[in-house]
Amino acid sequence: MNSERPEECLVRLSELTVRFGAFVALDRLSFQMNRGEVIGLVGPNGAGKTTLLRVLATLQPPTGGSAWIAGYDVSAHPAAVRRVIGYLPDFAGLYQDMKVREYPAFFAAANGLDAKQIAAFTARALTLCNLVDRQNDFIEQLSKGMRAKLAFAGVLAGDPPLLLLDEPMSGLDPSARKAIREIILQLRDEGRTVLISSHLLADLEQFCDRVLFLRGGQILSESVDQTPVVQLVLESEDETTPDRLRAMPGVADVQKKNDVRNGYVLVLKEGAHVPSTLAAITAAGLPVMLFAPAGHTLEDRFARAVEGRHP
Amino acid sequence: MGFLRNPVIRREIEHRMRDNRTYFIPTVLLALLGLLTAAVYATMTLVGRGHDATIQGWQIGLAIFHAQAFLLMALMVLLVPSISAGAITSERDRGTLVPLLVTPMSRVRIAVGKWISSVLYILLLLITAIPFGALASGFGGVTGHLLLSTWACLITTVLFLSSMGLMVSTLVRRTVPAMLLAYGLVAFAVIGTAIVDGVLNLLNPAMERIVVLYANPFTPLVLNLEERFSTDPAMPVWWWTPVIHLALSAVFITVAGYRISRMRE
Repeated sequence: MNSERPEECLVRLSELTVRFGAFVALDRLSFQMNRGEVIGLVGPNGAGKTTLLRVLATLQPPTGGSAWIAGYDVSAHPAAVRRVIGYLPDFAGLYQDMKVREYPAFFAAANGLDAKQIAAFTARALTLCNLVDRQNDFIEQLSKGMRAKLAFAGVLAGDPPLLLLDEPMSGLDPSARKAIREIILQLRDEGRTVLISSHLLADLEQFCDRVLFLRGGQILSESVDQTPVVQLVLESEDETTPDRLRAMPGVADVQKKNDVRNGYVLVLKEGAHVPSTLAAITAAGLPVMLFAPAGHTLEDRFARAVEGRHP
Repeated sequence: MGFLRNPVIRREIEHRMRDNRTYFIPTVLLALLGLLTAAVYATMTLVGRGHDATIQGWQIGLAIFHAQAFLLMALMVLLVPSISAGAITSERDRGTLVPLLVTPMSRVRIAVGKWISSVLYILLLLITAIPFGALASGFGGVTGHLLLSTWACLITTVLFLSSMGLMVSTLVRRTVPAMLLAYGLVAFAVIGTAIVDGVLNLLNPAMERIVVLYANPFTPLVLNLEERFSTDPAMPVWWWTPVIHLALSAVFITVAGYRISRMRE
């Protein structure tokens, strides 16, 4: 089984499809995830993010294509897959009557660890989640942010190489979000592979190596495609200006910005030398008032990929 | 105590030990048993005086024993579905089922863990009743056969009802409908079987007892009360109920295991 796939590739989807009746939740999705990568899933509600995570967590059988994790087909070998994943669902409940330290211990036991390993894991998980001081409290006494951190601790039981996180920061206040962000950053530094869905793009930007934009069950684009985009404002323009801009070196496309007077968005070719483009525009006598790189934040790229508009 | 390695059993035991109802239910059970025992004793002695006849100690002991057996069976019928029918649905209700299902722990082990933990709690209730049973035996009249048959029926009824509750918990998504269905099935086992038996006997009076009546948990207690023991040493009549209950328990556990192994959330 494992010999089929290269060692560095931990997750592989091939034409993965999930249908719910006539509704296509995932539409022939294909991508690979290497070990140590942190990948974000972004898209509007109903884009297929949760369905994708549920397929990988062995909770949703695909209706077409295949998904492989660590060399195991998710459909054919769910038990083997469960040994290499940690899954945090979008709504992860906790046992309110448990003590804080008992929660990671319970999941460690469920992962087959012996008493010594359970004690070691519990101590490590509580330290990572900064809950050592509250370990003897009951879970019902914790704040929402602390419960979110504790749910994280359970996911880490068994030391899974792949973490599947569905909206782990949803509904949390800024300080709790920061705490979760720090945990994910630490896990990334430990070399874990993480697939995380979130609507909080600014957070994803801080720890994701790649972000996949999903819509209608398909990957629209990847954030690694960082085609440079420039915002240009001229002092004056005439009807020939768009064509003149299109003829400049490195320019792939020119779009008029309707909300800015004499404003344009220049989509540059991949690998274009931006200073040379600016130099060519000024040399052509176009009166440049503003020439600024744009569209590099994740939010801008999301707008471009999912909503089809430039910033 | 190897079963304590199952984290689900440990978790359930800890959960029950932290729940006030865990202490309240045996307290009520013991109070009811105490009141019943006193009431039967008082009635028997008063009846004896009224008739100017001598009531023997063994008769009092036997009456107390039968009354306790019926009370315990009635309490099992009422309590066990409420304890077992929420085994899986309550996990789903509070959002803890999915994290549990994606662990490497076998799903059958999860189901069996839930079942064993509910059985252990019910057995604890029965064990608390033993001193009252001993009191009845102290008067004499309670034979080893009666003691064995009654306790075998009580224990197999617990296995039967708790496995039925577990199965229902894997068939229905929410706790309240699961409870309703479980109590509906219990009502059929207790009342429905008696009605079916009555109707079939009307249609065919030659058929004295039918198998469906033996699924009724109270049937062996009635047989014991009537002292209708079989003369066949290989298969006394009261055996039918435990055998049927054990067979049904095996079916219910199998269905529950199948259902949970295909469960997605």
